[in-house]
Amino acid sequence: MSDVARPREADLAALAKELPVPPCSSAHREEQRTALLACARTRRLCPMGVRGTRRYVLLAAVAAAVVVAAGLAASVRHTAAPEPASDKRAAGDPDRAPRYRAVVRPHVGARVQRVSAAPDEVVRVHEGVVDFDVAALLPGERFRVVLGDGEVEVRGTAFSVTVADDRLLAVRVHRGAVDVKAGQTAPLRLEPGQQWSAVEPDDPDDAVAPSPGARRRRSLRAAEAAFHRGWLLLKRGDAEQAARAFTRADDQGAGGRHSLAEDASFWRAVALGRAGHDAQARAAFQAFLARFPSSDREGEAAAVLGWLLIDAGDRRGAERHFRGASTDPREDVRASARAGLAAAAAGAGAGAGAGSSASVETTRKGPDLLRETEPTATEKRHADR
Amino acid sequence: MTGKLLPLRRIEGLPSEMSDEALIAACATGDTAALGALYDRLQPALWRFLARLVGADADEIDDLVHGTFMAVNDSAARFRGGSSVRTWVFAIASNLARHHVRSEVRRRGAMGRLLDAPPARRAERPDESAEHRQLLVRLREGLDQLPHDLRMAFVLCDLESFPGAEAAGVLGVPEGTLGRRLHEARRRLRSFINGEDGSPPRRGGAGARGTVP
Repeated sequence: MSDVARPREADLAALAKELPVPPCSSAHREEQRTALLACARTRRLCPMGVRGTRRYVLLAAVAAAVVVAAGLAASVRHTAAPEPASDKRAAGDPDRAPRYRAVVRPHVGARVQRVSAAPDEVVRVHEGVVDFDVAALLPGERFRVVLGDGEVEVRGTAFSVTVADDRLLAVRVHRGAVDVKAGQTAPLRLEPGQQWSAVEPDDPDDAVAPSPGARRRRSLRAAEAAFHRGWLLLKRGDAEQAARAFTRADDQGAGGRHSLAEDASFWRAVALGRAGHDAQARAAFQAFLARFPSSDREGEAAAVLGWLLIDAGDRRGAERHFRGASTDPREDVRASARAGLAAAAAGAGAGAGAGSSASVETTRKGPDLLRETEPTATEKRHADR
Repeated sequence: MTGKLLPLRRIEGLPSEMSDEALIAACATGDTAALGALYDRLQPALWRFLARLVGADADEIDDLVHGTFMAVNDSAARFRGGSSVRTWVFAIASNLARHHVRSEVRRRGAMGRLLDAPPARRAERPDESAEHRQLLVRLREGLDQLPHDLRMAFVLCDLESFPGAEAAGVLGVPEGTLGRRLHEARRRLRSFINGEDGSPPRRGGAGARGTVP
């Protein structure tokens, strides 16, 4: 083994840090997070349900005993004042730690905080959808959900609250009853199965504070619309506007490694080329190849980029890309690459004819990318949506 | 509920703004938003740590990360604050990894695919690139052959750059013991890479999988 392969002690850690770590995309992380929280909630349900119920039964029994004892004492002395409910509970609560009557289950993306514990338990919801499961309250106890513009007060119930931008959007009652007070309106009592909504949403996704998944879906819809528009413009010959539309499609949520992002990025480069913006087209194709190195379009993009580089006088760069394209599965791409290599070798593309910056001339470009072309099945799917 | 846990600290801010200790306290009361915030904070480092510790199979790492946070959630009420939350969480992960029954075939397959990918550090010449990749394969093999305790010491100190006291806290050993393990881990790795352990340094570890000429 050569010296290269014999690390000194000091190099060992540095070398080990080069060991590959499987990538964990943000989308994957979000999926795992959702799964984790779902599991945590499910697991919480049983223990909390059983232990909590037992504890409350015990506390209720102790409190009842205290009440009975107090009643007896009062009947004897005729002077006993009623104890606050919290003190009664504390009498049966040896560690006097704060008690929460509600199990709070924020959905992904929700922002919620507990403000205080029983006897006046308050939960502040800033954003998102939150489910509450409130155990039966003892006398004198309250449970409230406070929002930027409203308040929901309950007594032993299960319900969901939806909040967006600190505004109450919806309340749905699963069990028990709740009083909803939104803004300046009079309190409204909701029974099981009833729901209250601030607005009638057109889009189901708008009915709730958008979860990350809903946001992604929404931006993907916008991206698909932009792609569709770009495609129509390109077919119509308005390459300039088409390039802008494809840029929007790439920016609006399609970013990352979504197939739509791949298509939008590719066709943006093509549109720039057709619009005569060679420098921008070169940069766009280079960006495409860097972002999607295993794309089916890789050879095609490399071939077109090669011709654009020949036009720009960069024969060495062109050769590199033509070599990459010369193994493409498509014959027309390979033919274009072969012609490009010959042109580069002959000098400045003389062997291939043309050579002006009407680089979009297609006779020398096997893939014919920079003139009107048909979309792939994927692109048709995106464009048809 | 113990005196150590202070659920009311949650009023100090949103979960994302709370201290690690406050998040653990909130987890102990069943607050899944707090668990989510803790996940956001620690997952990237935990993922990398477990990947380096047990290999490169993403599914296995997912399982371990998930198991770690579930254990954190279940044990939050028992957190006594004797160490930092990060140390405590990594100790849980370390214990899970120790008992994790790995599928060697799957792991080596995944590692092989990763090592076959273009190296992050581009060598000037193709032969240098191949040799460098071979060295990485050899190092991975050496790391796999280390006993768990030695591998933990090496990964925590040399790869994750944990301070000595914190790494010792994760492993639950005195700092002196950690130092000895680290020294032994480095010695064995060097010896393995240089073929001084009796096994000849194989030409083209990756090539054995038919990817490097």
